[in-house]
Amino acid sequence: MNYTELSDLDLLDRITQSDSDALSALYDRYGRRVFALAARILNDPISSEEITQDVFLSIWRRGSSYNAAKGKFTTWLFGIAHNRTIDELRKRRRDKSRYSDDIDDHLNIASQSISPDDSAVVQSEYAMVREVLDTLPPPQRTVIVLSYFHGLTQVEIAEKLEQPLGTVKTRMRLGLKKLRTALDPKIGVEEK
Amino acid sequence: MTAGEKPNPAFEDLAAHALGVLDDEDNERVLALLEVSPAARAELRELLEGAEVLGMSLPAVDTPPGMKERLLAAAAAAADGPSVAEAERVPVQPAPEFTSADALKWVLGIFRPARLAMATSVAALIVAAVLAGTFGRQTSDLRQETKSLMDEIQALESELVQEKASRTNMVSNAEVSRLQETNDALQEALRDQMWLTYVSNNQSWDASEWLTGGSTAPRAHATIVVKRGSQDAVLLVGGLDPLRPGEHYQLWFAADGQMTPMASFQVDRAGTARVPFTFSGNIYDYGGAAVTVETGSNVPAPSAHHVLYTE
Repeated sequence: MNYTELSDLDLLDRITQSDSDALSALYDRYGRRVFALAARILNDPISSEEITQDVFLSIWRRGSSYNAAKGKFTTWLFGIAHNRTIDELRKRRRDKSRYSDDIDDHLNIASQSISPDDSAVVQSEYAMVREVLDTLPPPQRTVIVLSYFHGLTQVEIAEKLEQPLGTVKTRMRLGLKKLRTALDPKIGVEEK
Repeated sequence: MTAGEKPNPAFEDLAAHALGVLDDEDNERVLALLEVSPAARAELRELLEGAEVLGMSLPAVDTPPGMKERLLAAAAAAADGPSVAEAERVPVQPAPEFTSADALKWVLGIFRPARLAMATSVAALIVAAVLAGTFGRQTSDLRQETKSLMDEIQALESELVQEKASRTNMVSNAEVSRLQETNDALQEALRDQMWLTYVSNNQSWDASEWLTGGSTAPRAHATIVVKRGSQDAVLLVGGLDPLRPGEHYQLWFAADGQMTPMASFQVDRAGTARVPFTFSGNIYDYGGAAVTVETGSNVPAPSAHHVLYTE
């Protein structure tokens, strides 16, 4: 059987029957993207691998919990991956020493600690997501980035940007709705 | 929300729920709403698809060597046990130190430290096995085994040399070229990330103005950040074209119908600039900001060539 030709749902069905070849095929299809998501947020390949493993093991163990009526498979998959990653990010955030309050550190980061080689990593990670984010008005983009990639809550974002909480909620909602329409032309890998 | 349903405050938190940034208490309220509201479920489905775009838009990167095998081993362990929920994931091999420079090479697929480390570890184990065998047995079989093992070590060392040579060749040709090609645009991305970082992490600076490009510079965008309680500000610019000799960009602030010059600047090859400047009075007294293209110094009024203006 050629697993690469099976749809996501067919693979998931086989996974629920403990077919490890189906899990392998699903990993081949999405593993690198799940890993990229965790790596982008955590900037830590070791933890990113652990999270990726957790996501696929979760599907292996509880694939039957997926409910197609609640959304697409990839939405479910990346939802699990993002939630696990944000949980890890928040654990780390408790260590305040990881965050500097000195703006000069940020302004001078290019000259002090980012080599051209390092910068290429940033670029490689940002090219496409920037294209997608550029479809949003800047205020919506900021709110989405601070929440999705930085894990900040609505209240935290409102405080940081000194905006009313209701404004932040509205921007978050409108931003996500607009992003949804940006899916088809931007994404190279389509759900099978 | 249909006309027949009562407004529920938790409805406003659906987006944050979709982004995974609600605290437990609010999350419980949203989950309770979802249980009873078809409209909320439909809304959440749309919002989740928006969040998915962010995850899917990140380019797939090469995973660490052996990652898939470790996953499948863990899955097999889970399947063998009486309680799959108790299965443990296979520990990830810790790297001794993974610098950002290493990360670059790893992302580009030209550095395989784990493979090298594995080969080295195997070689060390073989040596250890040889030593253990030497002390444990003294037969001709042992000598033959030793020779075999040493051959394996030699093969592994040869592979290591080839590996290093391969890395060198790749770095010096295609990958270096690729780095050069992407470096310009990366500068822009890096600066965007910088301001997002300090806006999110620094309490004393505020992003006070957003500027977008006009018809002559549709890709251009800029942000003005102001240090709270001071007249110190920084203009962060991206997407502008480098100018011809003799031209410069000029930042203006508008107040009471007057345009006041604040700073002139050039952009780098990537079209980005970071321009510190000071202003007088209160930032909120200004009605807007604009960037124009000017020729010559001490320009009294802005030209008609606007490339950025306040939203």
